Amino acid sequence: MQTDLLQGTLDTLVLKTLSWGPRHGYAVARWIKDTSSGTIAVEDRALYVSLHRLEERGWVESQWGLSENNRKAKYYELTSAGRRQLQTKASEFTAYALAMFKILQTA
Amino acid sequence: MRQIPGIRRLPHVGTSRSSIERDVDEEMHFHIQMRIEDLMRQGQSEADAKATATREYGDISLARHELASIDRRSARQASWRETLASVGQDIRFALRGLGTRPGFTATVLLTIALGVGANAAIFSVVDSVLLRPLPFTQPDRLVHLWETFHSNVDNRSEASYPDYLDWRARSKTFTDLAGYHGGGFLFGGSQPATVSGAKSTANFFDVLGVRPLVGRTFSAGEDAIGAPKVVLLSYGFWQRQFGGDRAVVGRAVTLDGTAATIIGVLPESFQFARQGGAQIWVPIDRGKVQREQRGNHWLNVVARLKPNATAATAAQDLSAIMRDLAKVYPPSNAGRDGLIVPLQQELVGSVKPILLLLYGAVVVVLLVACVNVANLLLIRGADRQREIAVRVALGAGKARLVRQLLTESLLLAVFGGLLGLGVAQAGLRALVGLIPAQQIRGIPQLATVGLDPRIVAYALLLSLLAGLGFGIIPALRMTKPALYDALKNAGRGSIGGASRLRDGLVVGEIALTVILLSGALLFGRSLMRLLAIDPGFRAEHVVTTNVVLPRANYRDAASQVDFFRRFTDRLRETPGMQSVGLTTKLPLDFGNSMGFYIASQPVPAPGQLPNASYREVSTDYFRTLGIPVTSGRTFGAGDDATAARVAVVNRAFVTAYFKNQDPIGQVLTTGSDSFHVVGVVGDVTIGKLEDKIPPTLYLPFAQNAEPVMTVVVRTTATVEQPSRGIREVVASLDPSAALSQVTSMDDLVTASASVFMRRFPLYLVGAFALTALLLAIVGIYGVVSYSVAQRTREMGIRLALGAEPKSLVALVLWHGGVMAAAGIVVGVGGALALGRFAATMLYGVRPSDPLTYASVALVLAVVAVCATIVPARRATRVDPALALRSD
Repeated sequence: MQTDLLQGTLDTLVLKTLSWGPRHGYAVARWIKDTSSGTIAVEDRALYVSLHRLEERGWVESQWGLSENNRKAKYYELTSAGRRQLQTKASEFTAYALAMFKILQTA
Repeated sequence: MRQIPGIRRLPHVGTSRSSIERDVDEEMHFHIQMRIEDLMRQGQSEADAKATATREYGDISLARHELASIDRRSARQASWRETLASVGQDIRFALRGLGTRPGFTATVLLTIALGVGANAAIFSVVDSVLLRPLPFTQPDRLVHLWETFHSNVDNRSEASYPDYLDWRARSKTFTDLAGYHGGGFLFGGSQPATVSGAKSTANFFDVLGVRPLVGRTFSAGEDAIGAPKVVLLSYGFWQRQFGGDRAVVGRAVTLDGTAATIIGVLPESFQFARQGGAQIWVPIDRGKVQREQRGNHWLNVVARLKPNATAATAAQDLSAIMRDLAKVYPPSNAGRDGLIVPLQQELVGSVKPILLLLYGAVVVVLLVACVNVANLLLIRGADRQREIAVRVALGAGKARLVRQLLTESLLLAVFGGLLGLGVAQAGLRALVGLIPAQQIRGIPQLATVGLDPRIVAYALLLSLLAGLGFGIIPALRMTKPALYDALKNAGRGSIGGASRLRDGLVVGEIALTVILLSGALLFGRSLMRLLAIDPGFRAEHVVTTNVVLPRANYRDAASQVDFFRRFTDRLRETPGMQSVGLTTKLPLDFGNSMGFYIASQPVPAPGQLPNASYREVSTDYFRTLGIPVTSGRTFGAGDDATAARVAVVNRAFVTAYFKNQDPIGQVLTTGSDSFHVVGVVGDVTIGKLEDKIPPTLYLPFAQNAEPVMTVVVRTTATVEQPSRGIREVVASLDPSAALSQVTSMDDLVTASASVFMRRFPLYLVGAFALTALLLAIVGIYGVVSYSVAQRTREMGIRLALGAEPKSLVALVLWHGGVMAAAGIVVGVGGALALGRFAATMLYGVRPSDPLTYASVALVLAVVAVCATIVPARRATRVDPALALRSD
């Protein structure tokens, strides 16, 4: 249950990261760590599993390209199905967080 | 995927196994390198940075495995999606293409529907009659036993009861033997109905391995003399008569005027073709005398082979027993042997050749259909040469094009096959409707024949095979590189190879049609010969029915004779009845035969006794059926039980036994009885129309009464009126007597096996042959029209140079004529080669009958010319100027 939740959460975060445009896996990892100021500590391995799985589901597409320092890197990009998935998950998650927040407030 | 902006594109993400693993490694390597560089930029030593990066990443070998397996899975899915998409594209493209040519599509669909439908219909009959196992336990271990005389298989007979008992006691190769024979019953009390049934020994259903649906089957001892009467109902009779009521078991019913108890119901699947019409089964109930006479053959015997026995070892076993019996009982058993036939062969053997022949015929029809469709596809393909050339020029691979064209063929095949199921359903109904009820009883499987899932699967599989068959040659031919020249000359020149192939297919089609037509004609001529046989009696205006007396009320001969005397007298007075006769067997019934001594001739050795078929008839029987009296007299009113016993013989009898003697006044002895021959009558068919008429003996009914007689009435009216008359007379004399259905003699002749076995294949093979002929006409017409259209320019030039239109017609006719001639020659050769398989089914005509082949050749030649004349005339109407300018 918990791992599912975590996996789902990580997937949503990855989709969000890609929503501003194509990135390679390292950039995705850095952005999540930097933006959450290290709150979300996740193994890089899990992040790549998430990326490859999102690709298998057709929410993300990949392609080899050249990185900013001219190295061969695999870039990921949201598909339109991935964008819809992100919207669904984001609103689900917001509703969930609001509900949690409300309950915790009344306590 | 679209190019990601700002990023230079590198080779596509790999999909092969090794490239997937390489990609995973590279991606991982890139990540760790970037992290190390970042950390070193923040001041860490290279060693520390490396350690941190690896720790942050997690289990590297696990990651490598996980990522590669996800990627492999998605690569597999992607390739599936791609295949599906391209197949879908092929199908959409093919559907669009077929939709734009409705005439072509409809012709092809109809052709396939006819071919596959006819095939599925016949196959479903073959399947239910020949392929499905008999509805018994381990049916391949069951055999039918016969007695033969002088080892002559044509002279086989039922077993006598004592012989059967000895077989049971002495044989070492059977687990058990059981006996049965047919019979009619009077079912019900006050207003009984005649019901056909069968009688068997108590163990009959145990030997077959048949379990009852309700109740039980016979128990040991229930077939003993004087045992209480018990009845088993067939499923159909149970449904019709008792509405499927399970409480029927234990109920008392009246059978032949005596009380009997229903003990069970047979399962729906039970059928026994030799007693196919049996509605009820009871234990054998013949008396002591008939069970003790070793010379009285009335019991059919089935047996189950022991696990280690074969039909061959059982046959040796049976012959050894029969040799022993011949030594001990020479008067009855000298010269007698046993014969073993597998039960399956005994039950369906007679229809097997016909079914195989019909199956062969429908396979030929399907072949013709396929050839025709292949030809239409080739013609259409020629029109599409440009389209295909363009697609090749645009980079379509040959394999892809072949697939595209095959998709079209398979689609046509499947849709045609689905339509064919409708054709099969209608065809089956018509086919079963063609079979007289009398013959259906002998092939009870036909009653349930239909389109079950097996047949649907067969039809669809056949369609796909056909689709591949007629699609592959055109597909390969159309994508042949040489045809790409088509682009240059815009499909205007005719291409020799393709037109030769088309002509060859038409020749094949005509040849197959010739084979079918010859077959149909041979059956037609057999039927004509058969119907031209003089059966020795006049069937027109004669109706017949069985009158059955309840045995319980008519125990002695005197009461039976008395009833039938009064019955004939009363019926004769009814208006419209010209003449009324009685007999125990009609001419087309097989009868019993008896052996006898001729008093004026030396006593023959045992087993060499003269033999004759016999039947008991009334005074007016001969007059009613128009059988001529050639010398002496027939029976008179005085030939009754109190007078000396007399007999009338037929001419074949005189030829066989009284070559140089006057038959009148001769005395025949059977041991206990002797008969004085008082007259000779003309020969009358016994059993089958085509069989040689055997020596026949007629005995006066008044001296040999039976409680069941067949009445024959010559009338001036149709069937309905005499039918009512007979019914009224019987009812007025005794309401407890019953009648079977009244039929005209003509109908009986038509429904007889001899006529049916020729008429049925004639109708079907004839229908198939006409179908093939129709397809062949379409084929010839299509190919010739096409070649005329292709040669418009050539025709135009010829006309411009002053050719006579007549010579152009001749040119085109020549093309059709050569194809027809070649097809006829090949077809006649094929028909001659195949004809010997049909030889046993023909009558009075040889399979190599020259008149048949001459007529078929003539028909096809005429048809070919007619199919060619329309396009030929079109050739002469070409406007030279237009034809030349049109390029």
